[in-house]
Parts: sequence; structure tokens; C-alpha cells
Amino acid sequence: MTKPFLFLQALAEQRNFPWQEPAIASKVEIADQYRLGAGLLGGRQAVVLTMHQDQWHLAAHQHELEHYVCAGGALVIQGHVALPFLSCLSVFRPIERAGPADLALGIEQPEHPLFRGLDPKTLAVRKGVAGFYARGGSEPPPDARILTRINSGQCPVDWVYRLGQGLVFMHPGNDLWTTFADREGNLDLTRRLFDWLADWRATDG
Amino acid sequence: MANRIAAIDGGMSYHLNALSDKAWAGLIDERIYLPKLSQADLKKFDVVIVTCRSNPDLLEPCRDQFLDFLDAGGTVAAFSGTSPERWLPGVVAREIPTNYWWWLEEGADSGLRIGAPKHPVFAALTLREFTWHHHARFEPPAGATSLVNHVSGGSIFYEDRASCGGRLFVTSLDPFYHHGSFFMPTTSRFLAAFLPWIKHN
Repeated sequence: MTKPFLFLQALAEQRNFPWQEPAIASKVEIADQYRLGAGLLGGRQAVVLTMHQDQWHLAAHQHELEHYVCAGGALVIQGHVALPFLSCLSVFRPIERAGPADLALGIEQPEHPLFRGLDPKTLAVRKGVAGFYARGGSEPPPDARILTRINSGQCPVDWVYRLGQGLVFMHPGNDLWTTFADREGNLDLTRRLFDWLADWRATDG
Repeated sequence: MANRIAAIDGGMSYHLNALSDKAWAGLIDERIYLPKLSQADLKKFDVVIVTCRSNPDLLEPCRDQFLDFLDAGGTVAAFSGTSPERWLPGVVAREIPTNYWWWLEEGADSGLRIGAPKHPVFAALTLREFTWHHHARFEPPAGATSLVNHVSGGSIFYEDRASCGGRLFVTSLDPFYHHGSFFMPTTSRFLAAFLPWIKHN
């Protein structure tokens, strides 16, 4: 039976954490990026991309990706967009000469299932060094809903955007399962991601 | 005459950003799209740069292509995250837990030491440009020259002219990844010095 979620693997080492965790493995299929095609996307509740994706290849498959989302799928985009591979994307821009205060994270939707109860400092700061969650962003489309910001609110970070019947979620930072220094924190955030994706219409529909 | 340089482009944001940087894009004669590497004619180039995290699953099937290129006198520079032991000769890598935080420790010491101070690369770079963190240590084969050692043993950057007819640079540094991800300024200084150096050496 087709698993409800798909992770498009880009690097050899991405076969391991968090995909082997029983709670994740039972519902997420891992497929090499170069297998991407309509047959792989069809019927998935959500497709998760990594910050390491080959964006030339994604751009070559823009039609399939947009068709998948417009038909009701959810697409999670992580990392920096260098080559916009969907019509709603723009190139990632880092904050120039960012200091720790500029990189402080503000959660604009604290009740969103992805962030509820999380302290933004634990997401963004490690050993006193700021900027682990995001150091810039991709300009959201006008109708997007902003979830988090940096740079004193001037730079949108995470956003969700309804495209057709589906949803695009942009996280312009490291893959969410590498956010924290500890494994449990990363597993918790991964579980939150998939719990939200399983029922994203309840909050973002 | 300047070397003709090819660089591997895996399509990742950090490859696209780092290779497009106007500061040195003109030094790179051609970008080879990694999934099409097997169709590339490496003989057109003097140097092939294998950028950080280029997928070794795609590099390994091209091992013979690299060996032919090296035996014809070419230079390959393999950066971190490419598992060069899978597709280059003589590479013995030892994985280590990466210490990203040595600079916050008391008496901060990266542990890095220049291994061959008379090597011409040190006319263009100092130890400072090699110093951020590293992801593995290598045991260079007999006849190779370690340019940068770690005090605990092993090399983080070596040159090998003994295992092939050409020249290998093997390193566990990841400058293309960090520069192309817009953080860690030392990695930008490394590329700004190393790329012009390898263009002419």
C-alpha cells in the first residue's frame, strides 16, 4: 500500500535519521529524487523536500510538482531556493551583516501545530550562537500566511501558501530534523511536522 | 597558461550560489551537472573540482573516468562529503565527530597545523584560511604530502601525486557548502584564495 507521505532523498546519508524511527517509517516512503515523476507523487498527502535537493532537476519537474499541489497535495520546501522551481517561489535572500538580534526568531502563529509550546530561542540559538533556524528568507507570495519572522519582523521565514487545492510550506533553513543539537528534540519536531501534514486543512485549509 | 577548470554542479542551492559567485565564477570554465558526469569529456580540462556534498552514489560509477583523467595528468580536488575513498585511488578516510565549537573552548585551538610549509599553496593561503571545522581525517598514502594536519593525527588536506599520473587534492573541508549557504566567512576567504591559486598552479 502506498504510504501517505513521501520524502525525496538527495544525499546518500539521508537514508537514516529520522526515517528509520518506527513512528516515521510506518508512514513515510523514502525515494531517490531522480525517481520523481507523477507516478511517485500521486495519492500522497504530503511530499517533503530537503535542503540538499538538486534544484535543476526540480525545475525540470515543475509541472508535475505544481500539478500535484494544485490537485490537493502538500509540499514541504526546505533550505534556500536558488532556482525557483515553482511559480510561487523566489530566490532566498540572506540578511546582510546580520547580528544576533537580527537573527532572533519571532513565532507569529504560536498556536500553529508545528510551533505550539516551543520557545523560539531554542529553535534559533545554540551555545549562544544565533541564526540556526534561519538567516534570511524567500519572499512569500502576497496571499501567503506568515508563520515566523526574523530581522525584527521584517523578514518572513516560514510561510504557508494555498496553491489550487493544495498547500506549499516554505522553511528556508536547515532541514527541520536537524534543528536541535539533541535527537529527541529533532524527533519531536519531525513528529509535529507529520502530525500537522496529516491534517493540515484543520489549521491551514 | 591558466588551467582549464571544471566544477561539479549537483544542483543544490549551495552549489548554485557558490559556483555563481561573481568573485570567482570567471575562473571556472565549465560546470558539469553531476547526473550527466558520465557523459562529460574530462580531457578538456586540467582541473576537476568536486564540490562539497556532491553525491558519492553518483560519483562512484564514474570512478574509471576519474582514474583515466588522473592518469592523463589531470588534477582532481575533492571536497568534504563526497566520500572520495569510493572513487579516487589511495584514499583512507577516518570519520570523526565534528567539533564545530572548538573556538568556544578555553584556550581555543583548532588542532590544525601546517604540514608542508614550503608547498606553493602557502604562498596564497595561510593556516587561517583552512581553519573552521572538518568532517573527517585522512591517512595520506606513501609519497603524498599532507598540507594541513591535525594534532590528533591524520590530515585534513593533502596532495597526492604518487597514487596516479596526475594530482589529487583531498580534503574534509566544506567551503562551497558554507559559502553557498551564506555563513562562515572563513570559507569565503578560502575560496577567494584557493580558486585563483589552482587556476594558475
